[in-house]
Amino acid sequence: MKNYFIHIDNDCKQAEIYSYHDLDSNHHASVGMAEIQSYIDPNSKVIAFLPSNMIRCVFSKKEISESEDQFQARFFSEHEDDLIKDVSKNRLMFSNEKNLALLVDKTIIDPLNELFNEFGCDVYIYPEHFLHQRLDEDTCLLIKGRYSFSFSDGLGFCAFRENFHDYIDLVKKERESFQPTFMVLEKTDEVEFKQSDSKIIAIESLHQDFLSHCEKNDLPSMFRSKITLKGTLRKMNLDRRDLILSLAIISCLLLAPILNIALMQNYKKSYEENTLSIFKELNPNFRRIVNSKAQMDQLLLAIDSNEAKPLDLNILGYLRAIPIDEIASSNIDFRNSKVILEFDRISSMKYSIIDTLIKQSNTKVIENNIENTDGTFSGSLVLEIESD
Amino acid sequence: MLLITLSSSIFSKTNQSRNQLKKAKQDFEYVKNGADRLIGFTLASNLKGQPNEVRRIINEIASENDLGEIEVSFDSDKMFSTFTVDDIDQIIVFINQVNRKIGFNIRSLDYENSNKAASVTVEFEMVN
Repeated sequence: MKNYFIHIDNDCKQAEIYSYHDLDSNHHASVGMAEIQSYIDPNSKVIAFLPSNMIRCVFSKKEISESEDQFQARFFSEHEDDLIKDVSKNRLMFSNEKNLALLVDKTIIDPLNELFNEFGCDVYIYPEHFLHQRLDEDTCLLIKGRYSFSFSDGLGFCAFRENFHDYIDLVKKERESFQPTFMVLEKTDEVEFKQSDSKIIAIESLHQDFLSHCEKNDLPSMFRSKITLKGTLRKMNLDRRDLILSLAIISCLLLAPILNIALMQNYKKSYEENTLSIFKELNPNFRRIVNSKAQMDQLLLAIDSNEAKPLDLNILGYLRAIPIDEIASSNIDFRNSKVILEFDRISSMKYSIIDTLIKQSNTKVIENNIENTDGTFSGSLVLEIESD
Repeated sequence: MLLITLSSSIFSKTNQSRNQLKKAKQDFEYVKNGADRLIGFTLASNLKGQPNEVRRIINEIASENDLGEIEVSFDSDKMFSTFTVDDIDQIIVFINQVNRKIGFNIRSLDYENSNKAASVTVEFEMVN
């Protein structure tokens, strides 16, 4: 599985993409948001970072008895005064384990969610300071001209060169022990802190560290997964031909039962027409079928029932059960349901098979004239077919 | 939800159509059976006293079913047909066709197996 890290710029117009697959890594700088998808393989893990100044991190505890909605209502009522925008224009994410709430403007997060849902990937969106967060340590990472601050308690922020010192002063007032470890990705003179206080760190190593820790840390992601056609198609790796084929199969599956119903209706109509034509052949003045069985019974009343019985040849089925070549002769009396079978010198094995077949069938031996002469069987059997 | 409703409706419609088709088929078979009996009865009545016509029809049936030479004889209200067969199905087809075409019912069947071929004599009763 490929892992992608996307660092989104402060204006949400461009991003920097890092990809990792086994030992290979790739970097694409300044990629337009609309083009990101072309750099991402489906079914990968995508971790996107938003500059931390776009996200407000607040400690808040959700009571066990509180539902999600109740917690959100309480949270917004407690922090209403701190919010610049209307409550309804913010999206809230919450980590139970860390008692950490993330608040982000919907106009920022919703388009991102929409875009990332089309990737067909496992996506997470975090504030950027999560990348360099250290336990019991304040850190500041200079990345793409942004000073990303991560505090030891899990909160964070992002400042820019023009307000860096004001921000440091403000933080120092609030946090007396604030002594951040400054980190830069490459050696540069354009830093607001002393070079001697900072250390150079490779972003790849920060990514690898983050990958190994993020799963167990239960960090609140701002990504909201939604099923989209484009995302699903990408996940299934369907190209245009596969898509057309799949649509054709689905259409067939939907049409098959409808076609089946139409065919059955057609056959039914054909049977009804044939039934009517039989009646019309018997009586050209016949008009319509009301109850076909009753109407036919009425016609049959004209015949003496003893004279024209329906033909029942089931009795012949018993000859099928017995290997016919072994029977010397037989007589079937259809009126009395009796069968006489004659055998001429058949082996004991063949006779035993025939005997077993007769026992398994619906017949009763009423006369057995079979004689065993030197291991061969000859004579006759009279069977009566028992009625069902 | 729409898919479930649609599937349920198709399933119910399929069942309904299947039952209607089953009933139409059963009705047709019942009526056809009855009509065959009526026609057989009429035919048998018409053919009474016409042994040559009966012989002609029997020979026609035998030749249609590759039964080869067939002997036809009469004794008061009985008719006997003797022919050779390779399997039981030929006998069943013959009896059915005689019943359908001339309305005679089978009374008994004699089967003789020799080394060369099996000979069958079928006794029909001529309906009065």
